[in-house]
Amino acid sequence: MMDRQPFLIGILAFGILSGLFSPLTPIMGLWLRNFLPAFFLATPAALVLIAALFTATIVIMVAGVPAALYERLTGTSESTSVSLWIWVAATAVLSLPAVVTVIQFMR
Amino acid sequence: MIALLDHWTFHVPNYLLAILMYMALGRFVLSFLFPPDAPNVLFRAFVTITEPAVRPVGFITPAVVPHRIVLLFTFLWIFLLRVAFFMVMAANDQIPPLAPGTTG
Repeated sequence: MMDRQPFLIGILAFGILSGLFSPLTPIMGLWLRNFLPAFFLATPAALVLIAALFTATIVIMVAGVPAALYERLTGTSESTSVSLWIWVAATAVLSLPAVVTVIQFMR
Repeated sequence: MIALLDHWTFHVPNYLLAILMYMALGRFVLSFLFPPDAPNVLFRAFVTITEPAVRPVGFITPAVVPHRIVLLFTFLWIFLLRVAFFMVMAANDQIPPLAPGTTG
């Protein structure tokens, strides 16, 4: 049985990085304020937190599409190491703006 | 009511997507209370209405993801769809104007 944990940890790590540092996170806050007003207007801190959470989850979710399409095309019913590597790579690519932001912070 | 009808090409799809989005979130919450084949009428209504959205999301989600998370992803995909719909309508000047006295 393939150990999936390292892959999932890598995917989650890139997702968290995106949620915290992606340039999309402030934009997500604006979208949330307009499209989900009932939930997140309690405090600005709650809005920032939920925006980061949404950004992280959406990056992970969108990055999973190529991996899922690979699984459907190859006809596998379970995730394989190849599909999980595709997912990790796609998440890393989508996290590049966040990595650039971190590098700019560190300079 | 008249103002709502003026921009029905925006309001109707937007409200339908919003209903579907919140029902997907509701199905995610109810999945902690009921098993997938529970006969509860309310739960079955949520399942019936959201299943046409959950199936394609399941197709584009890796198999390792549990079904409950697929429900959450359905909510997020519909949210992104609503944002994209809003942007397309805004680009075509089809969104309703803000009410006087409100800020953007």
